[in-house]
Parts: sequence; structure tokens; C-alpha cells
Amino acid sequence: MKELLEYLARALVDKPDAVRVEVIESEKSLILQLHVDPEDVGKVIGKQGRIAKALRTVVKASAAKEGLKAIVEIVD
Amino acid sequence: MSKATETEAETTEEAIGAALEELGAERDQVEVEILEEPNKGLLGLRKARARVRVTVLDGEDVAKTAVEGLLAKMGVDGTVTTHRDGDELWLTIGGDSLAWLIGHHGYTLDALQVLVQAMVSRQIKSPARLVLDIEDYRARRKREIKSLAERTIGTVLARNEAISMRPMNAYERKIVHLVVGEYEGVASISTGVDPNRFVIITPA
Repeated sequence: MKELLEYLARALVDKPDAVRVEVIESEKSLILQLHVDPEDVGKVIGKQGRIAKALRTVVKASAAKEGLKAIVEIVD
Repeated sequence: MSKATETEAETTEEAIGAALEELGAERDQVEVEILEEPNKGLLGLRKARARVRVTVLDGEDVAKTAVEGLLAKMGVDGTVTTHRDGDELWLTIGGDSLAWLIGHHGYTLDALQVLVQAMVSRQIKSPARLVLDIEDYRARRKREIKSLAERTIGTVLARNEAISMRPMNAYERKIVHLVVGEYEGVASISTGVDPNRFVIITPA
């Protein structure tokens, strides 16, 4: 999940080196905190949150396939 | 196919600049391969010039690579094929047990399409409209919506009254509007707010 989110975020931002994903694990869910450069926040959120919503949907589907719940948080 | 050229100059940057000039492309629209590093040579002898090969990125290749990379990260064993349909570039993922990748009402597939489009438009200026499909999910939906629109138009004309269709996403609504445009005596309008926005077909 971590690699997937990192891959997607790096392909969307101007400063891929600043992309970092922290994983907080609990019993049955994963919280994925996506850190990007402050100037890139808009790129991973998109107009009306379109990109952020798509990132969440794709990561959730991928996690669900492995029986996990995943929550994506965007942090700058 | 992709346009490419090979150039040489004193430095790598100059060679790239010359290639961009020749191709009429910007730096972020191309892929650069360094064929030879500039070399001062021993005691200034046998001075080698920088040689580069510059290839203009092709929308189709970039999009295909983006989808393949995404599938690999998701652990999906699938193939990607491309074809053009009018102004749309279709990328079709083929493989076994991919229903989860389509998701309920195609939500996951829609999300994948949004991300691929965003990834590609970072590399290609004004890319084609991308349509991501899995097996023939969207192609089948497109046919279904076309035939539903045709049947509804028939009813509107027969009864001379407006009919509201079920909520559809922007792409599906566009298909309905295009079909309506081919008929005399009917018009269509979208109303409501996503995800409950729908088309009304009315007598014109």
C-alpha cells in the first residue's frame, strides 16, 4: 500500500524527492499519511479534491483486496 | 510513432538544445539518451564531442507506461492494449479476476482513470482524452447507454413528453447528448448535482 501511494504521489508532484508515506498500523486498518512539499499539496488534492478522492479510492480498493482497511491522510 | 533525432555539440546541454530546436519540442516533452559524454581527451587530443539522442514522448507510450507501472504496484497481472476511437485514446487492461479493479458502478476504474490522466498530462502538453477500460467494461457500458438513449428517444417522440434518465457520470451523459444530437425533434439537458446528475430528453 505504501509503495503504491508513493508511486502515485511521485508521478503527480513537481518535487518527487519530498514525497514520504508514513504508515500507522492498527488491528485491521492502515493509516497512510502522505507528506509532500507544501507547494505540491494542490497537485495531490486536485480541483474540488478530485485527485485526493481518486487516490483514496484506489488505495482503499487495493487494501480491501488484502482484507485491510486503509485511510489516506494528506499532510504538508 | 515517436519523433527522434541525434545531435552533437561541445557539451551535453548544447546538444540537447540543438535537438529540441530541431524537433520543436520543450525539455519536459522529451526523453534524452546520452550516447557519448564530452571528453577532453589526453593532453587535449582526440577531443570527443557530446552526442545525444532525443525522443519526443508520444502520448500513447506515456499513457501505456503509466498504466503498466500502476498495475505492477498494485500487484495486478494484466496486459495493456491501446487503440484510438475518434478523439479518445483507449487503454484497455486485460487479465483474470479484475472485477475488484472496476469496483461498484466502476468507481475504482473511474479513480484509476483520473490518476492516469493526471500522470500523463504532467508529461504531455494537451494529451488526448484518455479512456481507461478493463476487459470490455466501458465499451459494453457505452453500447448499453447508446441503446438505452435510442429507446428513450423513441418513447419521447411517440408520447411527445419529456423523460428523465437515471443518474449518470459526465462521460455517460455525454454519450446520451451525442446520440440525441443525431435525432430530429428531440433535445437533451443535464440537471441535478453529481453523483445524482441526470439527463432529461425532451421533445424539441
